Amino acid sequence: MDRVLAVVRNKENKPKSLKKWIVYFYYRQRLRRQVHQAILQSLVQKGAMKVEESKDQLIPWKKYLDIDQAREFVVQKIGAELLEPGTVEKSTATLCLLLEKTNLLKSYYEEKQLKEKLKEIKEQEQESIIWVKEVCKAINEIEAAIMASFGGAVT
Amino acid sequence: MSRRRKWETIQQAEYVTISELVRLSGVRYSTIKYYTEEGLVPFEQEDIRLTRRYPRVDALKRLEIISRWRKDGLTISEIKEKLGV
Repeated sequence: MDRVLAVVRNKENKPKSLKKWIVYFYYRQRLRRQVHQAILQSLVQKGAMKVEESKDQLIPWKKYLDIDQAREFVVQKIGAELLEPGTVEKSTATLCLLLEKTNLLKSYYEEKQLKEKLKEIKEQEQESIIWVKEVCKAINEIEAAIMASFGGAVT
Repeated sequence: MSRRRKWETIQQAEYVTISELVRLSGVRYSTIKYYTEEGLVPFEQEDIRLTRRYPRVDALKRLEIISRWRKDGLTISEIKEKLGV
């Protein structure tokens, strides 16, 4: 993440809204690739992904593959936090709100139970509601910016 | 421990499997697996097949503590810190 922030800081000094950052990256493929590589490398370092490279010199390729164990661990963590009574950590809740938007939670959990818990998180009281609202707003902005960029590219 | 043991036997056993611990505690299988990976639940690993065995009394006690603290509002990270894991 530090490397990603360094890339962003070196390229642009003006503060931007999240929506503008998405559009900014959409039109800068080389920079986007740098950020993507930095994220992939940090995941490899943490043991969540592995790299496979071809030994064929004619057609070289490099694949980043996820490690089942790492994925399973995240699935278990979400289940342990969301499906059991108790407080959910901010990072887990943020991840779940993102996964909910992309319909990825459905593949791993019973929908009804999770929906209830996510609704509960969104309705939390006092200070927690501020960050939940901010995260939801950011996720909606990301979605809108991606749709707008995609729409612009198509037309 | 491959054959399913009787309920009475499980209740008296010194060591139990993860499935038996699920039955005894009512906590989800995936949750116990996650707690185990995080070092929150004590276990022993058998030499040959590396099957995890849980000391029934200690594991149940630990699961009860975790559930209670989570209901009191502690996150899993805070529980880990409190338990010194």
